[in-house]
Amino acid sequence: MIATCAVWCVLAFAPTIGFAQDGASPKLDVRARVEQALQRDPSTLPNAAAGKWADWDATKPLGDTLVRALAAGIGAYQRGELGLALAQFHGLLEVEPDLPPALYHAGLCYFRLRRYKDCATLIERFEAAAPREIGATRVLGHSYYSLGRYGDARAQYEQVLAAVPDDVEARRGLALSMMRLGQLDEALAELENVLARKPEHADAQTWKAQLLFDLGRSEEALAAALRARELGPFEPKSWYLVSQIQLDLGHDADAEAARARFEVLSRAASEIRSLEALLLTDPHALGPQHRLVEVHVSIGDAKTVRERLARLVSEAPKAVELRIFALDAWVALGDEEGARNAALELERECADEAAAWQRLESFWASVRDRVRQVQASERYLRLKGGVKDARE
Amino acid sequence: MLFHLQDTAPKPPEPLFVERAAETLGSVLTTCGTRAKDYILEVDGGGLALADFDGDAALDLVVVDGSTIERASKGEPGFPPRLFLNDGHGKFRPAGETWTMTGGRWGMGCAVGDVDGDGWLDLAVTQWGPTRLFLNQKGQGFVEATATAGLVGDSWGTSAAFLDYDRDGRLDLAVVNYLEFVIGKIPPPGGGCSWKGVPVMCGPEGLVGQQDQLFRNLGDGKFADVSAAAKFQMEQPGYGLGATTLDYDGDGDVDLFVGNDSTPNNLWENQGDGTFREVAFLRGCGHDSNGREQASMGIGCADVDGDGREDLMVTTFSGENNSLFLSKRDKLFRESSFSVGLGGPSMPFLGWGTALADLDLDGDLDSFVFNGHVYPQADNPGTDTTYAQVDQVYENNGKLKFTMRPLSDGKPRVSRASTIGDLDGDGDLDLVAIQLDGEVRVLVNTTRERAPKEQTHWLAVELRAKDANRFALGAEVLAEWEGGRRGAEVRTSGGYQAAIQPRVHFGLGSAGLVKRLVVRWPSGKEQSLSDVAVDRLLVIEEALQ
Repeated sequence: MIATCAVWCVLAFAPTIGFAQDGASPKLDVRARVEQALQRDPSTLPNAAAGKWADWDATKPLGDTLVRALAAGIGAYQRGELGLALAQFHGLLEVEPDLPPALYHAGLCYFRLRRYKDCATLIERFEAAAPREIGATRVLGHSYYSLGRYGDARAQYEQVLAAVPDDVEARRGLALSMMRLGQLDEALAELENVLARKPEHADAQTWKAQLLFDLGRSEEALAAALRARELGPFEPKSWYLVSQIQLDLGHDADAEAARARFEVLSRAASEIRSLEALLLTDPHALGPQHRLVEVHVSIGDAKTVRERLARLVSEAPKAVELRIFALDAWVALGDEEGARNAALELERECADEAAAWQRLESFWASVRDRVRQVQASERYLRLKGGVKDARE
Repeated sequence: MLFHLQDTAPKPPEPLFVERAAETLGSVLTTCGTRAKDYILEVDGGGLALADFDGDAALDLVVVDGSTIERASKGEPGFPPRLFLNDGHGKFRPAGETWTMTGGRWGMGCAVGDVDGDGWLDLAVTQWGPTRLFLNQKGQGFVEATATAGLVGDSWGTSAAFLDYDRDGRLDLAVVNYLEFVIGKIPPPGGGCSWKGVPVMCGPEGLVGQQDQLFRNLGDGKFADVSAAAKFQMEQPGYGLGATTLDYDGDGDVDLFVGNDSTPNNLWENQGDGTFREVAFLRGCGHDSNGREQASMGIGCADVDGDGREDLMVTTFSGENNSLFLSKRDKLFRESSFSVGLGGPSMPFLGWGTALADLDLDGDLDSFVFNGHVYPQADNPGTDTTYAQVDQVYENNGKLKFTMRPLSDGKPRVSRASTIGDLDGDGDLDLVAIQLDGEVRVLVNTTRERAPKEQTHWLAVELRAKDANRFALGAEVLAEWEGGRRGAEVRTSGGYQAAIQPRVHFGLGSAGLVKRLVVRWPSGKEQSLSDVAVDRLLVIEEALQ
């Protein structure tokens, strides 16, 4: 399977390769290649001779050169460097037209870039080149759905599910396509199916609530929406649904309470979407990453703060400003354990920075860890003195 | 359901409208900045009104024109609004000198209503700057009354609507404002704004939205800005683009729906005491069904599901669905676009002018949408859309399921505002649309040309009230015929930067008689007619008793 190949490729080669090893001219400026890739219409990629990949088997390794190049692309994809990944896959597809894994992963890149038509173009070509891999084409259903082609999306999800009946995300996609086509009862049955397999699926639970509401079953819809809110407390949609259903039921006070939280989350979600859009083409930009953390802190989403901070500090693990920012974020969240861990990381990674110890001194004081507070104070004074001496 | 010619072999549906600007209007160009669209001020296009200004019952056409940043920077006036008079058969000629209007700063949209109660329709023109007023001199020309009218403010007005919110018999004016635009303060091209990774002009996000305004007609030729006193203000103003009047709660006073760009819509519920309350969230029409604010532009308003309450069709940005807000019990709306087939087909398009109207005269309401992107960069790879876009007709099958078909020749264009009315007096509804940086389009409905007349009956109704609100804006007309009934409110607000004649229109299909016609006048009186002959424009005077 494609997924197997992807993992295998990366595990085998990712640690040892870089962009320059992909066979392209090292002199060619990376930024220019990325720009060129992003500007390219993927339908202009060359076509293979008919039937060239008919016998292709995803479980069998490709030649070393191809695998290295693929792995470089997949590595970039996994780091969120989507332009770079595209450049890599385009290069491969120029050399080996319609190479199925390159088509597939380029398609994934386009999907993450929200270029759904381009994603569909490549995944359709992938499907034609490697029809046995139909089970891996859920993303084509997602693309059709995002383009408003709900009939096509439904058909695609049905094909995927015929090959992989346990694909929960394909089943969720099928349900949503049905809903968009006005097939509400069928959609509800499919969502129940998803929830039977994965009861904690917050999104499926939210759509179930929406469907019940649309079907006029407001009491059941409210129960479903409340459950969805429990599962995904930072998703504005579930709060919106709760408030709208409460209004429908005449529970105006409850509706107002849900509305207040919805409005906070909705504003945050809107900003998050804008920031994430910026990161799609500039994944290492620190400004948007900083702001994302702040927005997630503002709504109290500790899990996402943790993920975002991990990514942010990985941009420059020794940067004292980032480490202090991380500590401040945990403090602002009121997460003592997270703050303590961030403080320990700050100690470890930025041990030679006076600013680190200055912040640590105040942090340990705030949590009444007197021993560490004193240690931090001494280190700070020592380092500060050192700086002072050096300047003198 | 739209009319189909019977044939043995299935054929793709023919467009319902034909482009006839060349024969009917000639080449009328408008300007809205340069084609590069470096600033958000350059993307909205002009406005349109179809209304009978000279009293011959034929719909005349006002085209509101814009300007350029260069002209505006130099303090030069924008291009003037123009009136084209209809010969009664759908052919327009430029109106004479007495109708000449001077250029303002940068024209946007317009509103139509009889503000002085003399029985002639006057014109308000919104612009990037204070709203302007042109008084109709008994069908002989316009006189500008802006200087004395008291329409104060210096906002960026987009759409406007006349309404008698305080039921004093005089028409008041609501002006929808967009955002603060000051040349030199708005980030220039390359100012760091991007869309889908492509540098584009900045806004509206990041710019400051402006409060909408409510002007009360004092009856002496002057208006007073009562926005604050009437509580017609938001804590955080949205980016207003479209407006329509409606009595959404059926309490007899007029409410107002405002479509906002990238911010929640507003539904201003008239409290009946001279104030409003904003209730869009509470009524379910502030956001789409996902709880997301949309970039709302055009608005269609009519009772599309026949439940006796007005519904709302709102056009939106590419990647968003056009939204149909269906009225439900207890004054609630529910966004129901997908289940009726309006959601999916709209996703790639950025919609502007729209309406809910019986385009094929079969007794149910259809819709149309004029599309076109705001970013010329939409033609770059990977945007999933294009700058020029096709226009769409949504055909109702009579059971509230819509099927999309091309509106006319299927050529992509960059369209904006539109207005609707029977231009040629043949009974079907024609369209006029602004084409950004192009010619104004006239789209003639071919229903009555192609379909048997006995299957496409119609009735148009105008009202003449006793008070100064002579055209009875806010009145409701209920028609009942064999196999159908429908209510319609009298309004002149046409959604996005557009105005329409104060006339309601019923498609009747094969019904050759309206059995009962009930008028609920703004005064509260009710008047009823029986066995009304069809295929005509009926003008009803308000009875004394």
